[in-house]
Amino acid sequence: MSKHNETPNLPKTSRRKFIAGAAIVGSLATLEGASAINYFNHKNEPNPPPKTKGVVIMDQVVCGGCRSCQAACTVFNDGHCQPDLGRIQVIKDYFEGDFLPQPCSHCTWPACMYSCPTGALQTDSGEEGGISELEVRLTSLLSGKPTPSTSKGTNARIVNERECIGCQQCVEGCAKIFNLSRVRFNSKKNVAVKCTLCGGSPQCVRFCPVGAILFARGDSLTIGYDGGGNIIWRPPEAEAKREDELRGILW
Amino acid sequence: MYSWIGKILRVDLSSEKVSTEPIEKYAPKFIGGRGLIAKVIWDEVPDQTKAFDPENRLVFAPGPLTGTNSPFNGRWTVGALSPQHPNEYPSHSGIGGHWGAELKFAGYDAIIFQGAAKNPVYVLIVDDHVEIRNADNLWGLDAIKTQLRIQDELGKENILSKHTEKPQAGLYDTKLIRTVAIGQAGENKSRVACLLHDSGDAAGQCGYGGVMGSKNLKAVAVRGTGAVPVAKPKEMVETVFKARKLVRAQAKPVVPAYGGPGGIYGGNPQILTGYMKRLDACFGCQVACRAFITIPGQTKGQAQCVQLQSYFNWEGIGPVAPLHPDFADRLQDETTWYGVKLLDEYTINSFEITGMLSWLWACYKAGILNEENTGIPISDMGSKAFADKFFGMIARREGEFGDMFADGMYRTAQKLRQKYGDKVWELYEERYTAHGQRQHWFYIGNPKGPGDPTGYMNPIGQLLWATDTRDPYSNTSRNRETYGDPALCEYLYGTRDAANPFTYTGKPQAAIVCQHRAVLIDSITACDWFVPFQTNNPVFKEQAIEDGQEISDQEFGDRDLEAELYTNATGIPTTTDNLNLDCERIFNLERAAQVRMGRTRKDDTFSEWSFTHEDRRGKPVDRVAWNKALDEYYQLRGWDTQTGNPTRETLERLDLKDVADALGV
Repeated sequence: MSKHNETPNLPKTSRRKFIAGAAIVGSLATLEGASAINYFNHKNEPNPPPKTKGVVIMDQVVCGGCRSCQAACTVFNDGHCQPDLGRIQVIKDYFEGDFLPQPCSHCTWPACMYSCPTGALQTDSGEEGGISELEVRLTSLLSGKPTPSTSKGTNARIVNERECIGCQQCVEGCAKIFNLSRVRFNSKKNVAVKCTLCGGSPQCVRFCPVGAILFARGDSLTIGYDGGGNIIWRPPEAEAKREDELRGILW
Repeated sequence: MYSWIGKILRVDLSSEKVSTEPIEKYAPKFIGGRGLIAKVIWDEVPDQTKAFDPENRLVFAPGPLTGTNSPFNGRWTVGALSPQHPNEYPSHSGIGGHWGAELKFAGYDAIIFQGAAKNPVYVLIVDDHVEIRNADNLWGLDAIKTQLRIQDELGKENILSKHTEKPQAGLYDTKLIRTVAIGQAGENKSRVACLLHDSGDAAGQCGYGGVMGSKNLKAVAVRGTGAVPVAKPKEMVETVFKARKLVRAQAKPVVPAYGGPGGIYGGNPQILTGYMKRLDACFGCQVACRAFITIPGQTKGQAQCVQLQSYFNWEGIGPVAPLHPDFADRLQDETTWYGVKLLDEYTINSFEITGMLSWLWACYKAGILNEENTGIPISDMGSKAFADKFFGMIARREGEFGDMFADGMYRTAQKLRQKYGDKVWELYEERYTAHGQRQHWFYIGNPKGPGDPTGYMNPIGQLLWATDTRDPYSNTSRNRETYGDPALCEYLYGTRDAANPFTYTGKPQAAIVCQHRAVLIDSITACDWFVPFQTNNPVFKEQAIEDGQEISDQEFGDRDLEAELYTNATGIPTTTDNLNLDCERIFNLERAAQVRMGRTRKDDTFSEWSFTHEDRRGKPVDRVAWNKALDEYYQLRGWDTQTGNPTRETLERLDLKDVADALGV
């Protein structure tokens, strides 16, 4: 029985708050056995790709809304500054003071990847003959030095621009899960663009002035999402470290 | 062309015509921002023009670095003839936030407004789509409601999906439209009206809100989805990180001492900090120095120390006390916030209000003004009711005094001097240094922050004040850092003598460097709090050392960093010396425009009061020494020491031969 058009009945997140009502952190719940996989209309039975080895996580309360992440991201990846193409988006309500940085979670069940009709969405496996597009692009863009070894094998879900036909199904697929699609569409080049983890050193993390964006690493991270588009899992060691860091710093 | 988009938008409000022009006329020769403004005013504004005439040009000008990933690039510059200035000379005012970057993303380097609309209008820019829209239903609204109403209206028309070219994946939200607007004070052509953007970014000084009002221009709304090209992305990213390390050693949330509640100017921060929702930053900021405050039942928004100070405790006499003893018990609390946000909503310049309240209280205590002859509940100063009454009467020009105060403190004091005698003027001069603008906190000094040690502006500051057209301290705020540090003075100014705050030796040389760097940050447009990067004293330095992180061991900051950023962003190789030459050109062009309007050496001074009254050390400013310093300044500038005009030789050296011809020097 096809469940294509049903809204996935995902477990609701229980939220717990940091000290002094600080950062909102998702609870530890995974999507094992959830019906999300069937939700996406993909002709091939989607085998989950290898789990990502890193993920950008954010702290909504600390974010100051400067959008340095979007600027750094696009200058690094596109060579020009265009926040609309930022692989991380800060959703801002300027008059309410709600600033939500929205990074890509490199989902364990990536909606974007399952939606892609051409297989242009791939994992950055770092293998020979695998997705070398990232490296090619970085090398040509950054002109000169060969990309460091960290630029391979993060298992990030990335777009192979040569195979992308600009149909934007990945954008729509992501938007079904998250409020705002993490996959962006470059209308000038007619290709989808998305977070590559900058080859292992995310620039958004590097340039966040207040530490609202962090990079969590692990050998095999399970990242899911709930119906509301929130990340519901983050690596426990990162969470513990974060809690330590925040204690006493937050005003 | 990199960093510059290449297009300038010209909006003729009289004929409702919109056109674009290439940037080549202005850049790279005049960089952008303040330089572009200087060029527009020199070329287009006749010398007999007054600030509220339709012939005045109102220029909104982000610079080349705004909208890139350059650090602190959110700030941009507004320029026009300044209604606040006694002689209405052309001036400029900085404003932060995200509007400037949004304009660049929409595809324009600047907007020039000319003429005046017959009926209230606002301008909508969505990428290539530019529209002059009716604003009858917005006229009379405060600045924050105006912005929200515009977002609502445009949302109903689905305007973003109509005019952005391809699906933008969830970015049709009209909350992404950034707007600069004026409230009632601007509409009523107040000379102290600011223009407001988002919940609290304002171009305060110089009264450009009134200029918008005189053009019947209620708001300018922008949404841009495009890109700002960067010439050398990789180098740019690394340069930006280098700059960031000079300012901040670790990424942690903290309210900087100069930013949020309390600030370096005193006030118990605890009350307002309790209402603080988060940090708030301009586009591309690497610090986030402001607090977003939500108090139930009051307007929400962000504010910096300067705004929070404006309805908290206004200083007494400059050299004596930073905080007025009569208001020593006042807390920076909910009432303070109420007053602050009321000023923002009416778009009254909150910086001017501090001087105005201080002066009003002094006149009240001196028995010159009272509640009967002014109609202002002066004894109630500091309360919500007083804020409602006083700010309301300024915004709406109610009554004799409301009308007078709306024209700014200079014109008020001039009028009342004839009626109540010279004491009124003396109390004014105590607080107002020059150009109809009040003294800066920086030279009051207090235990928490570095002030100018004499309680008057320091010698560099005196030269800056005398030769500018506005309060120069905001964009040369870092000139005080060098006092007592001969090595830093040598590094920055090339003279160790500039470190002594009690003499004029080496000060003209230092003042010129300060001025050029001020022109630079107003022209490339960067924040004037954190640029230039002249010291290496980042926040969290100690923690970073403890954590074993690598810390730059250079003694000072990097005076060449702006040139490096400029080179990498624009692709035009340049050096600090070359940029200084550009800045000198801009400064001389500004001066030429003032000379054309009648500026001479006798205008290059500051309040007479400081020549006749003792400073904190018991000495007034030495007039003879001051005049000698000014002579030296003119000589270093290449200006005529008798008239203060730039000489032909100087102008030709700066590639401004046409200016020399027009001036007839």
